[in-house]
Amino acid sequence: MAAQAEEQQSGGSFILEHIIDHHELHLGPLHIPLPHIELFGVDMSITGHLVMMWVASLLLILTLIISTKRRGLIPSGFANAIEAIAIFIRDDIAVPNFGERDASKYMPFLMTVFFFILFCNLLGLIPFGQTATGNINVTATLAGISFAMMLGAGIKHNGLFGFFKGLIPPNLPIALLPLMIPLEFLGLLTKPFALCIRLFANMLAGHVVILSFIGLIFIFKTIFVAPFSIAFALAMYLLEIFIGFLQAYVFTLLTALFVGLCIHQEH
Amino acid sequence: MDLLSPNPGLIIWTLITFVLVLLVLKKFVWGPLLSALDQRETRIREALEQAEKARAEAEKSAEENKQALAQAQAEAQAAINKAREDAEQVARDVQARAEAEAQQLLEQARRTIQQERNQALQTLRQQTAELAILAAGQLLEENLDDEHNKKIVDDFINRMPEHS
Repeated sequence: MAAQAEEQQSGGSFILEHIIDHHELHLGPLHIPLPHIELFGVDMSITGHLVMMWVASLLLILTLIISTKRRGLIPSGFANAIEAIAIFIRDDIAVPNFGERDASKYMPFLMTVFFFILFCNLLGLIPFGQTATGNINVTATLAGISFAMMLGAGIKHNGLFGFFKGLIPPNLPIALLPLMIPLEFLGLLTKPFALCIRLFANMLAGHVVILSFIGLIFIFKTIFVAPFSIAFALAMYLLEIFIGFLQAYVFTLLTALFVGLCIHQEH
Repeated sequence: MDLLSPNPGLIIWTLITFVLVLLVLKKFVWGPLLSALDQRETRIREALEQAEKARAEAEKSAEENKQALAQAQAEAQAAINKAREDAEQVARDVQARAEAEAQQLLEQARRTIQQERNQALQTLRQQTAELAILAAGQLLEENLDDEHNKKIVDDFINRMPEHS
């Protein structure tokens, strides 16, 4: 939209065009303008990524409610897949990090994190869809929620003073304290930062690579590049599906791990 | 908009969206789903425990059956052995009694024979004596003194060999 001429020269700006957020909803050639809202001096405008996030959320809620609606003791069909994931998250993520007793308390949060990220990731792979988790504001918010969970759970279990005291390794020489306190504090902040960047970069990178392969056709301006471009793009696309699941899993796992570390600080 | 430009509005919207999704899913999906999971696991665990118990019971009763069977077999064997021994005993008794009876009969027969023989011999001697006296009397035509004659004949008879 900015410069057609520039696109002619570099061929790369159309990639950026596809992965950055806009104040309009891009459905192929159709650009639907979205409302600008300002509340309490904050620009609360609806953006394309936000719409995609809402679509993903709606899809997520509808899918889960419909698939798990008719519940007997024996699940069937899609509910089986949901349950398999639920059991996996409970037995392999929640229980090892929180222990048998506390695991069920954190399960709804972990499940929501997993499925929310998963649906946002996968929505970007559907035509006209965009990846909301490819927006650093979104991933930062999710990481912030994880960080809040870490602090909340840590302070709840160890007390406000106990939690921050527990960050510093026990039996440390006093002389090292001026060094260790900022380091440990930085270490605490690094965790959500890594979560944020990891998810953002992974979601962004896959799309950039796919778009680059497709872009080669237009850069070389020859149809003979197309088979290779499409083959590689297809391979990347399949990889993206895998990465969509993987990153949702990684984010959930690391969140559980970090929250668990804040609860059991002796480790 | 830039790739890394912060957008406070989007951050707030994301937070609101996530919290809403979390609340909705927690109420309508995770609650029922997780409780159903727990319920099912409890039920499966109970069913397994019950199956285990039933198996143990079945094993126990099979063991008992086996023992009862073995005991019955042993009893039957003992009864058979006892019956056989009894029968053998009876047979032995019968045989012994029969043998004894036969022996007794034989003995009796032998005694009777001996008696008869003795009696016959006695009779024979007497008749021989009488015949001899009669014959001698007729031959001599002489009425001898009975006492004297009898003595002579008795002596004669007594001189005869005992077993002839």
